Amino acid sequence: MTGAGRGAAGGRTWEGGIRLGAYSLRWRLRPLAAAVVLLAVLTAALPFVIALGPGGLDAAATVAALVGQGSPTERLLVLELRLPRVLTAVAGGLALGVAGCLMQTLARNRLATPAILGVNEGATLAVMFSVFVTGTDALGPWWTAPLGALAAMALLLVLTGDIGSRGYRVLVIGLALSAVLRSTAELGLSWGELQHASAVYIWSMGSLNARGDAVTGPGMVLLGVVLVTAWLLARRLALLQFDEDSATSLGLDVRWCQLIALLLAVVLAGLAVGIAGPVGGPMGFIALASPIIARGLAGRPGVPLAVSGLIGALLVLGADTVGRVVVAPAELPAGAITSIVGGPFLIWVLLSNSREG
Amino acid sequence: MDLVADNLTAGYPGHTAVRDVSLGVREGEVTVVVGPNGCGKSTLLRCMARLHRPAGGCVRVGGADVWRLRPRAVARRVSLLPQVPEAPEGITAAGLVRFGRHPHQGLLRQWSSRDEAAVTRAMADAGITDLADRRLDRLSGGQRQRCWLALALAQDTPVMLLDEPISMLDLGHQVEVLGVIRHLAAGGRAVVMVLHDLTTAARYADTLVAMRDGRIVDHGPPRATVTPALIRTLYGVDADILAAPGDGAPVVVPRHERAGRGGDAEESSADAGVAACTSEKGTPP
Repeated sequence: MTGAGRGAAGGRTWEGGIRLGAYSLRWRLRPLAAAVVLLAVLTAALPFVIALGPGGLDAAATVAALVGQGSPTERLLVLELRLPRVLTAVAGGLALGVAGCLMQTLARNRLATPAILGVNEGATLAVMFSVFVTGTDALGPWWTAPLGALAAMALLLVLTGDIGSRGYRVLVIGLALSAVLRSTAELGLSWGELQHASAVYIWSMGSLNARGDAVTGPGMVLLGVVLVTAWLLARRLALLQFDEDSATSLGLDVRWCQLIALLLAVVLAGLAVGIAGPVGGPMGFIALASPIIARGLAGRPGVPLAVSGLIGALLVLGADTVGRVVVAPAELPAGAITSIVGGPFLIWVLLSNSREG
Repeated sequence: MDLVADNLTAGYPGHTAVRDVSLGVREGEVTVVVGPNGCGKSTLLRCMARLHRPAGGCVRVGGADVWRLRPRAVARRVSLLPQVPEAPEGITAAGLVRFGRHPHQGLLRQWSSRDEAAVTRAMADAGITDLADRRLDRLSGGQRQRCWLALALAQDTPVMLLDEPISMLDLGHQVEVLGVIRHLAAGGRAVVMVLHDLTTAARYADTLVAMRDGRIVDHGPPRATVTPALIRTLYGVDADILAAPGDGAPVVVPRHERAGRGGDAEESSADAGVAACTSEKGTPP
């Protein structure tokens, strides 16, 4: 058994670990503490967020309804109307945060988001297509967007032939591909019937209104599987912070690891697009900002997957809640809120980037 | 022989950097590869580290082709100190060295007592114990290079490949690090390193391998290998070879004038017929 705070060479490293026979676990205290605090904040915020809005609920009544007590009206309001939307925000935020963290690790660049792969446009196009094909103003089933994202990535990999050293190649071609897909989507939007187009438009602005049904069982299972896989991959992802030669000589199959990480990021981005609208649009800010904030909280070096996910969840939940409340009874899309916050944040990141040189 | 290169040919599109090279490294020995810029020594090292897939021939570790092994399996037997490595942002010296244990770790074996002992020893051997909590990017070039050496040491592999391990070090630290490397070899490891300075190479090598234009021009114990003819073959420079007063190791003293191209001296090359001066210089990208 080793205690916390003593490093290999006797220095203070703020690490903890346990050792039992041949098994040992090790963790860094700062990311762990950050994750625990964020999870606590998120959990504690849920009743208050759900209580907000018409209906005169308070947090206590919400908790009561959540555990199946309270009046039928309260239960309907909480369980049927508000909870799905809140869970949608949390799930979308988790997916965006983790996808952003994976992309920034892959590209070794703080400004990388899933949007630069054309994934977002692929998913958007697929959702739009589903709306036009079904001829209703409802968006397609939950798997439409992830499928579109995967198709875009497959096309991208065929075009590049290889992920390429440090992922640069894939990024450049990804940019071109996303431009093509985006203009196709815009063409479709201008051709489509007005009613369908407006459903797509509202969704594309990053509104979570009426997206409660985006959180389905299978979708959540897929999200869970992807998140667990990403977590299992974390030790290898940490090696991607090295140059390729160093990572390989430390025993990492770099190409394989990049490919898996890319796949996970794409599926997450696809899920997030389905839930929260195009990640290159207003909600893209979440994928960009979450890992940056997470790195600030969890400390460097490291690949703060869990902290990024939780930050993402809090950001989307916060944006959606603010959008729901400020102009009540009308609503602002969550994406509008993130856009307002996102611009200044990006400028701040760029400035602090150049200061560090 | 723990690591063997067999008729290795390797290169980059439009350029063959290594031509038909065979080389074996023995336990307990330091092999030093020397040669002019662009002679293929770094590519040879990259092939031996399973970083570059050869066009012909193969590299075998413990009898198995490295390209039939997973990177992890190779990383438990061969470590590499690259020339210009890049570390995770904001990492400390100790944090860097701990990554050396990655090939020995797993999901449920994240930090064994062996890992801890190997890291402590590696940091002591490289002389960076005092730097443990300092940020790598705030250390001097020499300190940083010793941190990277410690990373390779912590990997605790029977074979170590070092690409110019002392290029950033002052004389004192050069002697110290080369002392560590000799000590490792005495402990039974096989070390292959690329060095630029022939005199240093001659002093610390058990076997000297001289390369030019992708081929091994000569190899053997330094005292028998380092001759004026070899210097001329490698660098096109006339030089005197002195014996060091202390131990008689060869010391290379170049003369002022460059040798006439296509020198008259007989090449003592094991691989005669290499055109001495038609070089195809091009550093790999």
